[in-house]
Amino acid sequence: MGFVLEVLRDALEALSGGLGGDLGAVVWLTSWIALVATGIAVLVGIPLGTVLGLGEFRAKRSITVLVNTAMGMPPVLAGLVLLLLLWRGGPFGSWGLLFTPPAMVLAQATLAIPIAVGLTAAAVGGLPPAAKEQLAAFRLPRWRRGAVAVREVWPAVGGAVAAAFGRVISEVGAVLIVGGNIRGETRVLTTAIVQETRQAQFGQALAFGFVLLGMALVVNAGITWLQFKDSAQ
Amino acid sequence: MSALLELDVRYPTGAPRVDVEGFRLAEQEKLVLFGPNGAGKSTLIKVLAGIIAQAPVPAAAYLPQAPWMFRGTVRENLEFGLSSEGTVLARAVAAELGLTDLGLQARQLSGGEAQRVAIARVLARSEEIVLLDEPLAAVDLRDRAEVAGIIRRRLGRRAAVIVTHDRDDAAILGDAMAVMLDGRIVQRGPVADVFAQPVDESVAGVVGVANVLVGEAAEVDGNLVSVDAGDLRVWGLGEATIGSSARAMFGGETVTILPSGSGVGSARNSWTGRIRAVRRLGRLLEVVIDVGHPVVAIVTPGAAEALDMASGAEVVVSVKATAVRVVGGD
Amino acid sequence: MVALVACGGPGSERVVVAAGTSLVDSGLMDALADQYESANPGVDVSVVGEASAQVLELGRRGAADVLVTHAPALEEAFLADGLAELSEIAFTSEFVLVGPPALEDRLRGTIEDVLIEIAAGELEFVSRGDGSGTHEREVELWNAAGIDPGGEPWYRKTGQGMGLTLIVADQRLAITLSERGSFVAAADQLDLQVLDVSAGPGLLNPYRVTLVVGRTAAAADFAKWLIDGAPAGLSELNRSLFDEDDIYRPAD
Repeated sequence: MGFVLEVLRDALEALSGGLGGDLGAVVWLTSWIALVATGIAVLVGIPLGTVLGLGEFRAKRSITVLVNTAMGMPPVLAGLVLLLLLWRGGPFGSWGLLFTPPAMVLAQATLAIPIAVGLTAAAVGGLPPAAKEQLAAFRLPRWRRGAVAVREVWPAVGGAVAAAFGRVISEVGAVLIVGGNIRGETRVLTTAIVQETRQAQFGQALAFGFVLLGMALVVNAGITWLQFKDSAQ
Repeated sequence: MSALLELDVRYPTGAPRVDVEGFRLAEQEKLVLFGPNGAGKSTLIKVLAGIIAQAPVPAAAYLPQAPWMFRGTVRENLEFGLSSEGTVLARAVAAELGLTDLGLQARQLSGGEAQRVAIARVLARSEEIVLLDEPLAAVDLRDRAEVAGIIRRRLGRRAAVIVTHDRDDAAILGDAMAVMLDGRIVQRGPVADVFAQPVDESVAGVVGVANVLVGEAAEVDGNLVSVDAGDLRVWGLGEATIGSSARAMFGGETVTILPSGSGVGSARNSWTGRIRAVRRLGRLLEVVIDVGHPVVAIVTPGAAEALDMASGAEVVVSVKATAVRVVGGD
Repeated sequence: MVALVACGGPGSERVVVAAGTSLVDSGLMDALADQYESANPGVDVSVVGEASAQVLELGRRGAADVLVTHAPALEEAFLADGLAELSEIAFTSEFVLVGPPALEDRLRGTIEDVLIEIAAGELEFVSRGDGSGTHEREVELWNAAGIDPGGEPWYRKTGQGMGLTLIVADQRLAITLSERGSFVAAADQLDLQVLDVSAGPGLLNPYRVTLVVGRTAAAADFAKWLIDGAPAGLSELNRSLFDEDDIYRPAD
């Protein structure tokens, strides 16, 4: 117990030292990378998920299987594939993105998009038949029909967004591989935790962990609050 | 008149299945699809609406059996899928249907109110064909005739297919009626004819036997209204504007047959006529009496024996005014 | 990273050896473990690769039995605390400065001169920055050259093992300090080249094997073998792993 308490005390000390130096930069980078990646997942994933959930086409079932598989894609695999694509001399090497924050955004978006697609498709596809029938009866343009459907199930879609955010912010394998954990440039909370643990700086590592949990808590609390506010109407 | 819609609907895998050959809807025709639950009425109208992609169909305005209120206000729900002229019309119909507070959350409406929103938004659409699946199911019994009248009027010259299993609704909303049983249309004709002359016992079992007299509202006396159909004056309960067209409806089981010369003056609706036909209808008898207009009565075999009913016999036919329903037509 | 999964069969005795990532990334540590296991079937050697600072921390906390490190200053403190039952330099390799071929001609000479040229030219340098033996040595070399690169825009810290740091240096066309074996193991995937820096005592890389106090007989036997038995087979291992003769050498 003594050891754990000691680490805990170190962690609290690191936190009470304010977000000075490294911590501030790491939190800032973590936040904007995760938010941009989640934003991309929302912009790409929700429309695709709506098409998949509402549409009637032959490949629907196989695409659903693929999306569900991709939802569980190992982050390190996503990282590896992106590394190969972005490798200098590789297909997109000329973009010069490897070991930069945009590469990390790409990696996280790759992981978040299937989640946004899969959960949105499940939510929209789960609309009661009466709602789908009424929606068809309105003869709206396709995009409007999708928008009404998403709005109808938005608490579940909000949950999809929260899940996507949770996935990218807590992910370490992919951002480590394509980001490189370069101090002050591509170091985020999760890779910093790995780093500090390796250097036996357990207090600092735990402090980063607390911040990570806190960020996930804030985002989920926000979405849950919106969901409850809506259902109270 | 040319057909707006003419197609075969074969949907053997449907539950219930549908097998209708040469389904036809003429311009301006108001066709009631009548039948018991599970007869395939909703399936057929879904095919016509294109919800079940079974046959190529022209665009139609469609009111589903269970209208769905989406998140948002009544106004938003009223205006889904409508042009700007459509929204103006939808609000006018909504107002006529008694919907005033359009700022409410649509989810908080009662079933009847939600049904009215759905009716208003479907009637405000611009398609030439209107498909209504049980439009009055969620409307309170006492408001039904009024709402049905509004639907009838707002349909105007558009053609419509209306699913119902209610005789009153059918009589008010329809010109023609198709009776569905087990996925097939077993009888089709003017509403009054189908009610008065079901082709067989199974149809009679479905529609009941009803008399529908079409004429003109003639006189009002308290809550009673009279309708003049030819030489016949029929009194009943209801509302109609004097001089305008109106229908009087009463079931065959409400008709009493008395020996000729008995108390003619006791009921408002007492007519003398001759028996034209006596048919077996299961355990009952269906008697058609010509009182200047054919009136159908349902009687027990015992009563028929007591009266010595035979074709050509002169009898007095009586119906209580309170058993007759009068509705203003278009 | 501290949690380990037991992987030996029933009845086998487990020895946890923690080694610097250079040795693990080069493949040497696994090769040594395999060699020992095939000679001692009842023993299961588990290799954990960590930066030297963390390796010593694992030993301090009793999570590892045998430590292989190359960070003299950190090792000294560990020994001073009386935590070692046995500790000896077992073998050596050397550090190399690697960089993009384009810089080959510009960066040659003594290590001090080359580091001064890097700083003066603000050439990108990728540092481990992780408390590893390699990183410790790199800091010493900068100090000896009279340069403090920390905070300079051309100086980047990955905080990662040798392998990933080499990849970052390669992709960014940057320079890094690497243990020779780790570099050779990864070299054919990389465009980096060993820079022509005159070798000196500053680039010598001694590996210390330490047996933590109070460990099993199996752990003690493995540690003794690393110190006494293993060095004799190094040249053969060098050839099979790297196709070169003298990456790792027995200590003098």
